[in-house]
Amino acid sequence: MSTIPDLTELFVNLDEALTLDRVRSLVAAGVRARVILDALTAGMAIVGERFGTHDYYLAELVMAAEIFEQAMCELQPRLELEAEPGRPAAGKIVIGTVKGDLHDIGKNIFVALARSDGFAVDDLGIDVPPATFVAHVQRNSADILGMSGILTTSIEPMAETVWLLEQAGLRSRVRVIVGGLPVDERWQRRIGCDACTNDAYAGLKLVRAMMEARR
Amino acid sequence: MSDMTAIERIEKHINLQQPDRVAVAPMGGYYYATLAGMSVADVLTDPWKCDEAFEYAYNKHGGFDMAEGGFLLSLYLAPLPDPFSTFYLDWHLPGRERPPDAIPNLNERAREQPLMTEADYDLVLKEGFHRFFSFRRAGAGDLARMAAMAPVAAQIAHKWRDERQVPLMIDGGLGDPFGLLSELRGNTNFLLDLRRRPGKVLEVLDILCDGMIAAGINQAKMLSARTLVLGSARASADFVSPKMFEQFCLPFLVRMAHAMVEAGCRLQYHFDTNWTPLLEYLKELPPKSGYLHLDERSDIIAAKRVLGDHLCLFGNLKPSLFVLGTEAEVEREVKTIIDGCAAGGGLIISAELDAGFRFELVDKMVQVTKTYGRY
Repeated sequence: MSTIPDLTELFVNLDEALTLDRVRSLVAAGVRARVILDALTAGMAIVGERFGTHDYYLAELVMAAEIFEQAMCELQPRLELEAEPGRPAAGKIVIGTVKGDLHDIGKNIFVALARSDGFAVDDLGIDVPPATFVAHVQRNSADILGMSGILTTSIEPMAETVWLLEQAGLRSRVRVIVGGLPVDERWQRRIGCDACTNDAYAGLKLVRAMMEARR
Repeated sequence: MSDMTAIERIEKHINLQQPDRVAVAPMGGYYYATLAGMSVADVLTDPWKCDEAFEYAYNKHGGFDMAEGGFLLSLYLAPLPDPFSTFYLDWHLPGRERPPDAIPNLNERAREQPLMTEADYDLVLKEGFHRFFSFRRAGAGDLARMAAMAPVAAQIAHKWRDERQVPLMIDGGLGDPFGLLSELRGNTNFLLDLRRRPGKVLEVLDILCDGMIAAGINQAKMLSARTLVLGSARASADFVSPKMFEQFCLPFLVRMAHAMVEAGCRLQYHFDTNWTPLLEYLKELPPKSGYLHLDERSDIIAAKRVLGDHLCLFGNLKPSLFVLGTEAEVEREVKTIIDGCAAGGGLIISAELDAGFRFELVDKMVQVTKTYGRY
C-alpha cells in the first residue's frame, strides 16, 4: 500500500520514476490530491533545506522542481474534480530578464521554485523592456516584480523600470527584487529596489518574507 | 630588487617565485574600446582596432603586465565546437544582432527548443559533433576573416612580446566539453540529463574532449600560441555538487590540461562562478602550468591556501565595483587580495572590465597593485 511518508522520502531522494509512480498509485487508491500535494510540498521544503546546507546543489534543485512540475500535471485535474479550492496564491510575481540580456538560467530556476511554493508567476522571458514590466505589474496587480540580469549593463534597464514604476504610481504597491551574478547591495541602492540576490533559493526566501510582511 | 620587465615578472609569478611586485592585468577588451572612443563592435571585428584600443588604455594607465592581443572576434568565430563559437551556438554579436556598443550575448534555450535534443546524444555518438555546425549567425565570409586574422595576430603578438616585453594574456582558446554540452542542451535540460542519462552524457563528453584536444593542439601550432584559455563556468559548485564535478568534469579538464602542457602550451584556467568547494580537485591540474582566473564568486584567499604551491592566481575583483564603487573601496579590495595571496609570488591582480567602466576606479586597481604590491 502506498504511503504518504514514503512519497515525501522518494521525492527528497529525487527518484523521478518512483515518485511519479507513487503519485499515480496514490491517486488510483483514492487518496485526495490535496494530501498528495502536501506531501510533495513537504519534500520540497526538505530539498530547500538541503540546498541551504550544501548537501544539495543546483542540479538537485532543478531535478526537484522538475519532478514537482510533472506531479502537478497528474494532480491538477484531480484538484479540480475534488472541487478543491486549492491554496490561495502565495503571492503574484511578475518576472523577466531585462532588456539587452538573454540569460535566464537563474530566473528559470527561481520561477520553478516559486511556482512549486504556490506563487502565481507571470514569466515574461528574456530581453524584456522596462515598459513591458510595468504594464504586466499593473495588469496583474503584482505583489512582487523580479528582474534578472547577468550583464553589468543590466543595471540601466533595471533602474529605468523602477523609475517607470514610480512615474506610474505603482512603486509603493509592488516590492522589487533583482537577481543575477553582479547584483549586490551597492547595485540595490543605486537602482532603488527592495532586495537583491544571486541565489534562486535565497530569492524564494526573500519573496516569502516580503509576502509575510504584507500580511 | 630592480624593476623587471612584464615578461620576467609574469614568468616568476607563474613559476610561483617572488618577483619585484604583484602583477596587474585587467581583462578589459570592451572597457578599452569605450576608453579609446571606439564601439564594442569595432574592437570585436578588427584586430588592429582592438590592439589600438588596448594600447591606448595601456598607455593611459601607465602599463599593465599582460597584453590582450587583439583577437576578441576569434573567440566567437572559431569554426570549432566551443562554448563561444557562433558556428555552434546562438551568439548575438554587436554590430550584427545587437547594437554596436552592446556586448556579445548568448541566446541559450535553457528549457524550451534547445539546439540539441535528448535524441541527439545518440546521433552525436553515431555521426560526430559536426552536425551542430551551422551558418545560423555566421557565414563563409567569417571563415575567411578568421583565416586572415592569423598573420595579424602574429604581428600583434610580436609587437608586445618581443618589442615591448609584455606577454600576451592568451593567444588561443580551448573549448570546455561540459560547458559546450550545457549550452547546446540548455542548462536546465543538461542538469536533468546528468541524472537521467549519465552514461550518454559521459560518452559524448569523452568524444568532445578528444576533439577539443586535437583542435587545441592544431590551433597552438597554427598560431604559434603560447597561452590558451581553458574555461569553465558551469561545472562549478554554483551548478553541480563536488561529486558530479568529479564524475562529469574533472577527468576531462585534467586530460585537456595535461595534453596541452605536453604540447608546450601554458593555460589560463578561466574558471568563473564558485569554485571554492572544488579547489582541492584543482591540484590534479599540472603544477605551474599557467594561471588560475577566478571571479568574485570564488574565494581567492582560500585558493591561495589550497593551491598556493601549485598554481599562480589571477583575479578576482568584482566587476560591478568599477561601476558602483569608490576609489577607497577599490583600494581596500586590492589590498585585501594582496595581503591574502601575494606572499612568495603567484598573484596577478585582475578584473573583467566591461564597456563604460570608470577610468579612475580601474586606474586605482592598477596603481595600488604597483605600489602596495611591491615585495
